[in-house]
Amino acid sequence: MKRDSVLVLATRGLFSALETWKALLLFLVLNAALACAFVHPLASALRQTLDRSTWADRLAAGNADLHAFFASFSRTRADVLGDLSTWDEALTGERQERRASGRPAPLSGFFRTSGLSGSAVAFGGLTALLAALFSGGFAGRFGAERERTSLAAFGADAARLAVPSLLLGALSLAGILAAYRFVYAAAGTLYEPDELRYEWEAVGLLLLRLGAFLIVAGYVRLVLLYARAALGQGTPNPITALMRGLGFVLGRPVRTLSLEILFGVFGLLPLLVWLFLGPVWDGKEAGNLALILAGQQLVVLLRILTRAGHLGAASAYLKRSKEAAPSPAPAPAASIASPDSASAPVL
Amino acid sequence: MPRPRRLPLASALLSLVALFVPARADAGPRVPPVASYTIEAQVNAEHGITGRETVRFTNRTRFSFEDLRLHLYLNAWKNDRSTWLTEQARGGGRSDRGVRAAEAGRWGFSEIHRIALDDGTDLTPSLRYVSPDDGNPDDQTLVSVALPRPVVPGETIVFRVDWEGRFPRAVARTGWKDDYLLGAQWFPKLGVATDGGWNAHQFHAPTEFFADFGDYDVTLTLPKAVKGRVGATGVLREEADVPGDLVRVRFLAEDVHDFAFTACPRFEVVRDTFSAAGLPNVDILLLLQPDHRRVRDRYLRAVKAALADYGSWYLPYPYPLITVVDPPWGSHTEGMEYPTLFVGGARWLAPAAAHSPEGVTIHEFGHQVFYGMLASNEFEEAPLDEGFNTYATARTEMAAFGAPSLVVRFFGLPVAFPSVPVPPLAAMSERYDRWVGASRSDALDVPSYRQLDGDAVRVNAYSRTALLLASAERTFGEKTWAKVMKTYATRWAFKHPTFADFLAVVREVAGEAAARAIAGIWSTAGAVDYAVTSASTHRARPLTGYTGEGDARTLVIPKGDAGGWESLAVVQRLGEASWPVEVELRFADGTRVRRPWIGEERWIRYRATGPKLLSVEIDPDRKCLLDSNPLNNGRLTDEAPAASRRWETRLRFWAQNVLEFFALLGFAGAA
Repeated sequence: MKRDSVLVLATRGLFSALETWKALLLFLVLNAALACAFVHPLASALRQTLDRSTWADRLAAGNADLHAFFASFSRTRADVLGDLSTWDEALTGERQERRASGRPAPLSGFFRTSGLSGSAVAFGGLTALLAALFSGGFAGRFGAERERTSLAAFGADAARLAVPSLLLGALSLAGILAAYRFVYAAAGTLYEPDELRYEWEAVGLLLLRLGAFLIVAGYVRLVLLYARAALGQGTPNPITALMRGLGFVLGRPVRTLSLEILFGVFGLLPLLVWLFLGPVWDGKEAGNLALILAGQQLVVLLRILTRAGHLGAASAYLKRSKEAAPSPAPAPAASIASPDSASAPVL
Repeated sequence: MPRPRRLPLASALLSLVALFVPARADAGPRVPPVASYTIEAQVNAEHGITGRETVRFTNRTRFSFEDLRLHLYLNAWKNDRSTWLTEQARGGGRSDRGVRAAEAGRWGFSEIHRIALDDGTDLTPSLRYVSPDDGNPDDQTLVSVALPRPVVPGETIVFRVDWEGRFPRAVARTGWKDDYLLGAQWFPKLGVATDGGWNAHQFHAPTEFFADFGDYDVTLTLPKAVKGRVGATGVLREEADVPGDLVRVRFLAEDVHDFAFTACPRFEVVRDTFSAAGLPNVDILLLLQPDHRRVRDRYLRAVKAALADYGSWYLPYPYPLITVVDPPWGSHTEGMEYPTLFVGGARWLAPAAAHSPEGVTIHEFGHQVFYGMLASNEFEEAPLDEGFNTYATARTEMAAFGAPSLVVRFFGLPVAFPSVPVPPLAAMSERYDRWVGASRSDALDVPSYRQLDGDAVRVNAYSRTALLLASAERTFGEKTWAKVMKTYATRWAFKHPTFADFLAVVREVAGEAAARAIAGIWSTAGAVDYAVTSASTHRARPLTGYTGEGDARTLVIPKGDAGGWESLAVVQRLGEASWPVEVELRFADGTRVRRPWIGEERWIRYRATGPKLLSVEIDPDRKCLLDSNPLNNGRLTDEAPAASRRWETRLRFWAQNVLEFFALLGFAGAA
């Protein structure tokens, strides 16, 4: 098997990521803390509504009354949930009723909402910010190839690459939003689904738009991912790193996209397994709760591992291609050793 | 009882009839016709109509009519100043629809060129557009034509109308899409003659129609491409080629109050027959879109279930044929009813769990009873057809197919969640509750066309009425309620019943209390909302202090408790409306005590001593589906946090994954 085959790269990436297990756990803790804060108002409202309600027995028993309960709950506690229609539209692709006056702007709705739906944007942004800082650390450690378990070295890399990481992160976010706005949403204004002869044509076009958006967004992510890997390998200038990432992805569009898809599937797999096979806590047995919480955290950790693994794979791919490339003179990038964080003070 | 019927002209055309229609042996008496039409019309490839109709109007009222009132419904889409489009733009109709095009072919119109009595008297000069509902001078959906002398009670007049029109790109109920045409509300049509004069309204976005019974003899000339693929009210009697690549079809219908037709060269024609003990046989003609072949049998099963249930519960379907139209994608004509013909609606991917097309098929068929035979005024009392039929639809759907499950479409691809049932009335309840929380603009007794907006009309007509009838069924007993509905349907078949007529039947069959409860809901815009606002229980305290008098007076200072529990509960009526309910107090020894609450008091306090009170619940059997906030209907004396903990655990996990997704979305790389 070739050393730069997709599977080898993926395996290398995952093993590299496993070496940074302390950072992964740290990110998991932060993710869990943010999630707790995010759902706290909703959880409180649920407790207020349910704990002394005769609905509690029905909901604890099964799903028969679930729809009726959540329909009433979302209406009576609209202050907690906010307007979910914009999210619903974005996640299902089902267009909300169009007014004769025209369609709502595709993105504006996300910033107008209150309650849980509104705070999702803020919490999402915060998570993304954390992810950007962490990705600097991961990139630095993958570039350094040693002391990957050291949280101190990880922290030093994260701090050192914080600014370029945030810049690349912002570019990634802007790129993906632009792809949504100008590929997916704008393409939707070019035709009226109702005017197509058959529904399958409308569904096909919708899926095409979605596919086009996912591919463009995927490439945006890939360019930024390889740019980040380049940063970790010592390219100090984020613009240069970006150009390097762009060049790298453009030179290997299929293999890099294959990696993206593979890691995407890896990331979804644990969630789907849990969705279909995962146990549900009955709300009573504390022992079961511990097991279920552990299982849930394992699922999230595996997903985080997958993301980090992808960066690890990108870093390995970048390094491997550099090694494979014929170089008449010592390559400047290779000669610049990644700053070794071993000398960084232990935090 | 409705009358199964025999077609006219039987002696002359008996052999021809046999080709198309199975003979009915059990024909009954006819409905005295009020407005009968003989129409000859041609529809060209550009959806233009040229027609001539002869109308025979018999005045069966006590009123002398000095004019004729004719609906020109297609003028609703003549321009954007029409009452229909004005109302639709301000939320009166379905908000996703409108004429949004500069293309001439997308607008519609209807124009009378000449109207004359059969003796040749030309009435055209006296024709004028009238707008009795809103005074809109630009609305041309209703005309008045003065008569040279009044039509007195018992008199019959015959008049002829030459007109032309154009079908719009279908926005609602009528029009074309690609090569499909639904011809409805397409000819100049008389209003309803009543003892108070004409009942004729302009065409309104949120409401439907009202017409008198009569016979229809309609000959249509259409492009030949649709030969063999035309469906209409009544039965096909003739079909013949006509020079010019055209086809002529003739349909006859008796005892109906409207005539609609449909044509599409892509229709796949499916025929079947319904037969069930005690009910007349009915032929089924399904005109199916080719991309909906997979739901063919589901359409047929649904229409048969409806024929059986509506036939035994309300009125047997008396006509020989029912035509089911499966409209194409994006036609905006789905879910509409006309006499002996209705339009269903199916999706390309239609999971069985969604009960679509089953639900819409049952509902639209159901209008053959609640509209077709019980011909109430849809302009003014939309609940009498939509709400009654929605209630009946839910019963049949549940009996024949069970509860549908939650189905969510992700980018056009349906995903069913079989573990989350969504009974039809639950969906009604959701819409009603949302409206109650947001608006409460109109009571059910406000004429439908005058209600605030489309939401008010839809919620009142469909959800609120259906929930009211279902609540009545649960509260006053299934058997009693079935008798109410059957009596109402039987008594008022082929007439124009009103809510007062229905209420009289309720009073007669179910009693005064039932009639009072229903009338109370009908006349208020307010919500029903009962709540248990407190429930507590504590160890009973023994008497402390002095007891007795004089020498017998003793100071008692107890050292322990008295044994047993003292409990208190308060139930309140938070809404403006009331409905009879029960209050259940559940105790630790397994006792359940139920107390009836007529619901008119604003609050009741219950005191109990004895075993520990566990819970208080209003309407524990959930008979009252009108309660706008069922979450406050029950209260436990002790906390039971299992359910909230269970959901909290799941929510946190999903939140972690949502946030993890944001990390992926926003920032390439780790996490």
